[in-house]
Amino acid sequence: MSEASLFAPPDGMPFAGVKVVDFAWVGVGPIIARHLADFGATVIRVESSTRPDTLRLAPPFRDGQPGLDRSAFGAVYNTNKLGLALNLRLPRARELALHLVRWADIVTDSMTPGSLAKLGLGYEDLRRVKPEILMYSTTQMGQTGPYRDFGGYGQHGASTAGFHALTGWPDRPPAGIFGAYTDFVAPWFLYTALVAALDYRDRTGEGQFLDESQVEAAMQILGPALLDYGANGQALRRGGNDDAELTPHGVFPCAGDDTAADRWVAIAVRDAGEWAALARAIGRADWARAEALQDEAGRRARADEIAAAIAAWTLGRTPHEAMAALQAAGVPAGAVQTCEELFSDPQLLHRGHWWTLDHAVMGPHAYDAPAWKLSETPARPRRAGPALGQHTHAICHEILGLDDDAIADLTAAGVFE
Amino acid sequence: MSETPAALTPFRALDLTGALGALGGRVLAGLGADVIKIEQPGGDPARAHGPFFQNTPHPQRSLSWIFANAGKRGVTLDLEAARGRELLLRLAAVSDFLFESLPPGRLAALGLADESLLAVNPALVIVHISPFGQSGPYRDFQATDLIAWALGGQLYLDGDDDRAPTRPTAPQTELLAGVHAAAGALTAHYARQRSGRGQVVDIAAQECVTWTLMIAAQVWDISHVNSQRGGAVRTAHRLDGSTLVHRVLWPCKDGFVLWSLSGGQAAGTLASTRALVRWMADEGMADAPTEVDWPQLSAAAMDQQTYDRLSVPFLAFFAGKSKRELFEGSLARSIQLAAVNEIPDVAASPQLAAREYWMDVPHDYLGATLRFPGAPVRLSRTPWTAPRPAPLPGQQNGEVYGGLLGLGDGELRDLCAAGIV
Repeated sequence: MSEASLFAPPDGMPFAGVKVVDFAWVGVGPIIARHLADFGATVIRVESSTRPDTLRLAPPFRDGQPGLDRSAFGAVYNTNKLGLALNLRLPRARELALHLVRWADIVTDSMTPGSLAKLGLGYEDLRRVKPEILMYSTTQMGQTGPYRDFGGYGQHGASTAGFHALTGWPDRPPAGIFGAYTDFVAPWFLYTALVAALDYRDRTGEGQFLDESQVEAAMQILGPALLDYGANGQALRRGGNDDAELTPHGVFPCAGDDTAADRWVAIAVRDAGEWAALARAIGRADWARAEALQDEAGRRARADEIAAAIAAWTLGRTPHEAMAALQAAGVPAGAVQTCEELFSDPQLLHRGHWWTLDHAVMGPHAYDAPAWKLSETPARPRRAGPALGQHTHAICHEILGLDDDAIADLTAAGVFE
Repeated sequence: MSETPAALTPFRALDLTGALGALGGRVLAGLGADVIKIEQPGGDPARAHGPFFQNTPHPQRSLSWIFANAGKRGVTLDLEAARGRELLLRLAAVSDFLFESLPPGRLAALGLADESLLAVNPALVIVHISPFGQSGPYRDFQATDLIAWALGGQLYLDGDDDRAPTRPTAPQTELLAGVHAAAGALTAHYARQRSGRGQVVDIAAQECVTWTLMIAAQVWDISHVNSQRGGAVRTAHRLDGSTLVHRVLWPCKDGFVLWSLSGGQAAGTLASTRALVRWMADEGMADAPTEVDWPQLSAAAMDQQTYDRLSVPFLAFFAGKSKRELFEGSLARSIQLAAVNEIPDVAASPQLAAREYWMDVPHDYLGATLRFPGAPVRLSRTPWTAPRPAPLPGQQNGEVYGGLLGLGDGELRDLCAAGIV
């Protein structure tokens, strides 16, 4: 592939011709820019081996061998981007960065507040060289306020926003929600606002600055509980798998395959029809007709007895067998799937959820495709996440207009480290 | 009226969603779009879900409905009736988006297939939201929040390892699918602004859940290891076959904090641990582990006996302080520690107060002001707009059918009498 063709806008894609300089790192910031790239934007990811993205240092590594270009974590939020190595601590690197800003429509940031400004790359600096620039910054706590300098990760955000305390059993300490949960809620709000702001800029010529606190954004999906507390003074607490409105509702033990351990099926009943179908499926046709069990309150009064009967039935089946039998009867049921099973889940496969892309160092490996399936202008996998600085030379030539002598000079000065 | 512009002011969305996906239209309204909630006569069945204002179940007091539908106008419309469908097509002709979360195929069965909607408005962006998608082997599966959480892969990873997996007690998937729907809608919108053509966006709650697994799926892909769940105290299984029972959430005076006991070579972790030890020593703790060789003590390599012995002074230090004291002290010292906030802690956050996060929205029909979580994103030029209260069923029938579609009073009365609106 010629160097120039790397920068050719992909015809017909939503963001073809939109240019992004991605200074963000770790999760949320790169994920947003990744989705712009997946839908056609030209995104240049700026990194430095002198201060690598934390995720390049984190497993899983290909063959278990650490290396800046060997971590799937360092690659999966960067599909379709072009990689530029630039040590922004050097003044000549910062000049090149400002050159890129003049080229760009959008600039991204996810460092703690003020970090880019200290390098002369804050929003006020950027708008001096390009008034209509759009810049977003995403951090745990936002750009202002007494906690603004908190530099944590998504697990800290999930803990701060309330998700950790709400997950677990009422008779136990909280278990916490898996992973860096708010990192996978916050991007969609900022992405949506950003595209709206991009459209606004196209219509008015006006750029702007977008400030996201990942904690604040993620709290949107605790909205009902927050309104309940504000209006009624009652604080939702973790309740295992109980549901305020549904009985039965829970996770039931299943037979395993070879390992026979830790296999489960989730089952929920919303109305008398689903209740009757469940009762018949588990061999309790008497319960299907029992008057006292037709409404949820009646079932709740006998929840333990019902759960025991369901578990006696599920224990003889694998999660997928139980799901298939109950879904065939019209009962909401789902296998509690392991990560391994997600790669053979027929629905995720049908939707093309897994992209296998050929990484420059790791070779082919799995990426999540965007969850939004557009009928006419779908996301397209064009490239794996870049190795650190993979496209530095091409970007210097084609975007920064540097000749080979200039590139050699800058390389010798450590600008591209 | 303020002259402050909003990003999506010129655009209109029709919102036929139930509980699943209603947040999508809410997000567009926050960005300034005119969003019209379309309910069946008698109201959206999702109004039956709690929590309820003053714990009194009533269609106008559902706080989950009021939350997800704030900022929208409201009309009623019977899509089972031919005249109702005709009105929907007239609304679609003057709108830019249509969101819906009926069972897949239901709109088409009513004669409102994508092609029919695009025929009256080729620029329309149609967003379908469902548990599994508009096609595929699970299309017609029945699902609730818990089922999508299970099939998407999150449930297996949540909860104590000696009991069944547990979901967050605040249901996530219906709202999560909604914000994905907004993102997909805006992507199609941007394409339309350039091409003039609309299209169809298909959102599946299950797939939105799969996007929350961090790197767990790739751990399977790259290393063929299935990630496991664990609670406040959990077991790490190392590649060499050894295990370490370690603490993720630590008890403190009034609850828990999130912190990891580890030294090692990683600069951030090492500095964080040393800063915490220094804090303990500064407060006069006699057994603060100041003499420990932290660079040699990565949790990834520590044996159980060492881990348990080192835990003792930290447990003692945390026990004497509240989660806010521990968090604020950690913030000042660059220690990687967060409070495990309960809802009342979140509501009392000094950070959220300083940023004037909360939005207080008067609701005349409740005789009360409700406190909403505020802007998810702060836009300097086109700020997130404070919402109007979620509508009562049909509250804006007059201004939408009369003002927007130009129906006469008589015609509207006739439609009301026929039960169409």
